[in-house]
Amino acid sequence: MKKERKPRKRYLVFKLYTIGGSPDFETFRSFLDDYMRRFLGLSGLIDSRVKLIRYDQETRYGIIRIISTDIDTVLLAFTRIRDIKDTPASFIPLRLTGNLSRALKYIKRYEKRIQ
Amino acid sequence: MIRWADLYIERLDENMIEFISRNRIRVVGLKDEIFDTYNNLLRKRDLITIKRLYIEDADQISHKIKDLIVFRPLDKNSMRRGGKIRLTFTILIDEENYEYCSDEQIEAMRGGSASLEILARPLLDEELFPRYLRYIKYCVRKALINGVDVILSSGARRFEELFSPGSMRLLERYITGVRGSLTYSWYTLLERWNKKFVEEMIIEKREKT
Repeated sequence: MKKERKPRKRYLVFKLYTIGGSPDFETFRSFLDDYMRRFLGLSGLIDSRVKLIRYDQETRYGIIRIISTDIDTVLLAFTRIRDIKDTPASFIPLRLTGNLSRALKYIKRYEKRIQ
Repeated sequence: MIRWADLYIERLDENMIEFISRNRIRVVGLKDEIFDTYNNLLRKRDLITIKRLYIEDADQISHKIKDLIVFRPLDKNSMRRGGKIRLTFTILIDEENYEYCSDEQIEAMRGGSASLEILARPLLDEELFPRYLRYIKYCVRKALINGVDVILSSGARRFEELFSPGSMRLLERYITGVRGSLTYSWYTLLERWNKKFVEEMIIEKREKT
């Protein structure tokens, strides 16, 4: 019998490219909740455990936590984000890491490039 | 290293140019009707451009054409005929003709040297999304098993239809189940189409970095 894979946390480092203003953390979080509910359905949302960990309104870099077992479907959902509350936007996935500290390290590196 | 490309864009505007030049998309294929307008502008922004000659009739595909052809078949027979031609070009799969990409089509393409060019744009349509994704997933996997090259292009006509390199990679991972199988196919395609162009592209990039 094939062993079922243990669900593990994964962290997706992303950048949000918007035309016009950038949403704040709360707006983006509520948008993500609604969007994922629409895409995955209620039962899908329970399993995926998607959570916005960090999002900086100025630099527009952020981290989302996802679960390894549903990774493909959840990531596919992210590729279709095209507007956030009527603001044209594009979701740019940058890195997928196994722990939060490494994700933060990448974010620091990206933010340094802007400065 | 040149890593990302979007080999077929139908229309461009300022927002799209800004997005492309900020997102490590280095090779941009432009539909012939917009090529002259935007070529110089994109070159100034350190992007490599390719003219894509758009053809809808399989009889017009000729060895005399030096541009990289994008053939968009409008019916099943024309698609089959296009698949058998021994010339480097791509067969465009979009919202109008995705249903023709079947086992027989892939079988026909084994004899030719065309590649499949799947447009990502229809995936943004809520109604079309599930059906289109199911079809192209089957078609791409079948093509890869049979050694037919597949590339993903956005086919964008406005900013919202552009896919960032990361999104393309995620799409590829979802469609094929493995990473890296499509990402580099565009490179193979360009190399087959014009080896000299690719060599010059690499030298140009190396000099700049």
